[in-house]
Amino acid sequence: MYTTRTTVLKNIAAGNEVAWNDLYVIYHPLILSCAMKRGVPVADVDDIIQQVMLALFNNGKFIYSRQKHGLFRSYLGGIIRHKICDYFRKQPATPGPGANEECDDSFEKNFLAEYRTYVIKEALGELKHHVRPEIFETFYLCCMQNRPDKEVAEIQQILPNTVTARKKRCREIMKNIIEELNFSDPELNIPLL
Amino acid sequence: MIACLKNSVPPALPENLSLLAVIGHGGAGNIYMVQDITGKKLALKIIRPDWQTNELNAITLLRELSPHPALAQVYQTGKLSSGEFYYTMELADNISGDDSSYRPDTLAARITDSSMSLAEILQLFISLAQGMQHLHDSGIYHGDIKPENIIFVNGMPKFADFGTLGSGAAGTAGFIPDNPQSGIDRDCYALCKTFYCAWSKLDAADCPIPPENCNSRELTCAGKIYTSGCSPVASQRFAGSQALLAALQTAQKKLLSPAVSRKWRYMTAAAVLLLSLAAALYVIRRQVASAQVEQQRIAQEQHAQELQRIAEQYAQEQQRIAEQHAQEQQRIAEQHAQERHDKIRLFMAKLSVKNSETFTGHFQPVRRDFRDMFEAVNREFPEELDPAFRKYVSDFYRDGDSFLKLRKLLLSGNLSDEEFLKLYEEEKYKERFIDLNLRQFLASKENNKHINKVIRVYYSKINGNNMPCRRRDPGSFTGRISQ
Repeated sequence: MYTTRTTVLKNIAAGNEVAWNDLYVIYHPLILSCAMKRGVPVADVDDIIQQVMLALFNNGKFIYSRQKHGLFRSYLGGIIRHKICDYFRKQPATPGPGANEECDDSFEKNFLAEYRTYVIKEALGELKHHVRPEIFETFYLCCMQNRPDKEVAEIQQILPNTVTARKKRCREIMKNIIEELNFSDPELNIPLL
Repeated sequence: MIACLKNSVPPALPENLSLLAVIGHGGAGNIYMVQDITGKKLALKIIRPDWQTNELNAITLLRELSPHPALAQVYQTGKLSSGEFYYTMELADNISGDDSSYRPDTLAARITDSSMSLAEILQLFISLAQGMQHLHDSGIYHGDIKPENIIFVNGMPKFADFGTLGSGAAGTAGFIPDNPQSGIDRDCYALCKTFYCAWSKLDAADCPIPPENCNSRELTCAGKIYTSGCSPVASQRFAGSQALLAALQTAQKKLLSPAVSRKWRYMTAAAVLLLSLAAALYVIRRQVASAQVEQQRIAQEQHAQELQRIAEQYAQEQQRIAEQHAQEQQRIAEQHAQERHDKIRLFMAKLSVKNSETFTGHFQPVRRDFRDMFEAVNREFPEELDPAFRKYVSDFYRDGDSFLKLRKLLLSGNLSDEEFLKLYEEEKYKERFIDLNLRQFLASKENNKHINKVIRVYYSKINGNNMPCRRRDPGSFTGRISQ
């Protein structure tokens, strides 16, 4: 069951140990994606993830306060950057393609983009829980893959009016989700789909 | 690659099996590649003690099933000298490329390494769905269907890893619905999710996100499988393996049928509809035409029947008229005959009456004055007369008078022909005329005696013996009666 990150951070701050599992579920794909993009081998990605989670756990009571005004994002990005940087420093072999990122400010910028992409993906995951799979597919094909309504209608063998109605419904749900995300982290500035 | 046993001792296998390599570490125990005495390579799984119950139950269920090409076959089961249970089963194909290393051919490996077309994937999953149906029909379910647990043996897909077979134990996250209704529901959900992973090459958690740049037609065929099969709403998922199998077969059929765009489908449908309408109109017209022909035929038949009826009526009328005419003719003929007869009767009657003029001669007996004498004697001296003679003559004269009266009436000319005939026949004129024949009566000598006596008595007692001279016999009948 999807749990909003706000709730998770709140629970963590309250000392709920189960919430840590939720935190892992929510953020480990992001951490994995960031690490792999920067050249960390698959076999070592789990170590990176564990180190990041451990760092978050050590500062658990402060996590919720950092949720406000988007500070948690920066905080998480910083931890990930630090751990990846540590990894490459320990490697005698040739560093990966993203190994130099931690040396400049481009990591934050890239991380923002990745985080935004990841949050949108999470929002879509939230949307999945609100609508039937075929309705979600309609919305995804139209708004994420930018297929014409007519083509989507033909793919799903429904009427174009049904495509329009499904899109509208999903947009309304996504609007609420995105507004909440943008409110919690204005720098995200996720566009309405 | 051949896995090495790290910090572990190779197990002591049965005599008919020889160890080749360690190929996996499962939750329930290690998996080895072994070879039997015939040289056939098998997979051997040694079950951990804490998993023995589950695994043995699973293997027992599996061995009770009839074999199926989509279920990896279990061969040998037993107990090692160490006390651990083991079983051998079919070994997945090696896709490593050489015999010095082993990499099992699983669906997970194929998803990663190769690019299967949707047609191949559908055929593959149809085989698996049939195997799953075989399991479900036997009342058991797999419980942990996922790409890693589908192996290929001689290129044939088979379910493997039956550790959770019918046990109800938890499967793998991402392949379990939030609200499983039954073991069958779980298996169907997991197979649909596996199908999604195989086709989209995305993670199970991404379902139902369609892959980028996928073919619309393929998306149409495949989308129905995983959007229905992986629905969070239990009632929208496939009811069972049979329904899932049918959906897969339908998707395959649709995929293999020629691609027709919606526009062409509508045009085809419109063309079919028009042809159907044209055919229907043609049929209707034919029916109307045949109905009209039938109506004409019926009308002609009716007309012919009417004509026949009229002809029959006319013939009957003609016959009736002819009969009437004949009857009329007969009646007229009879009438004429009757009239002639009546005329003849009248003529004969009148002739008879006219000819009876000679009766006057008959009516007058012996003398003209005999009647007077008789009546005088009968009046004054009836005892002198013979009673029979007296009665006869009295009656004669009485009847004679009435006859003459009748005759006079008939000859008067005052009667019509009908009155004449009626009177003539009712009064029996002719018989009376015949009856009044005194001549024969008087012809007898006996009656002459009485006549003479009448005369004598008359002249002796009534007329003062003034009897005239006798010139002839008084009994002879010679004179005529004159009226």
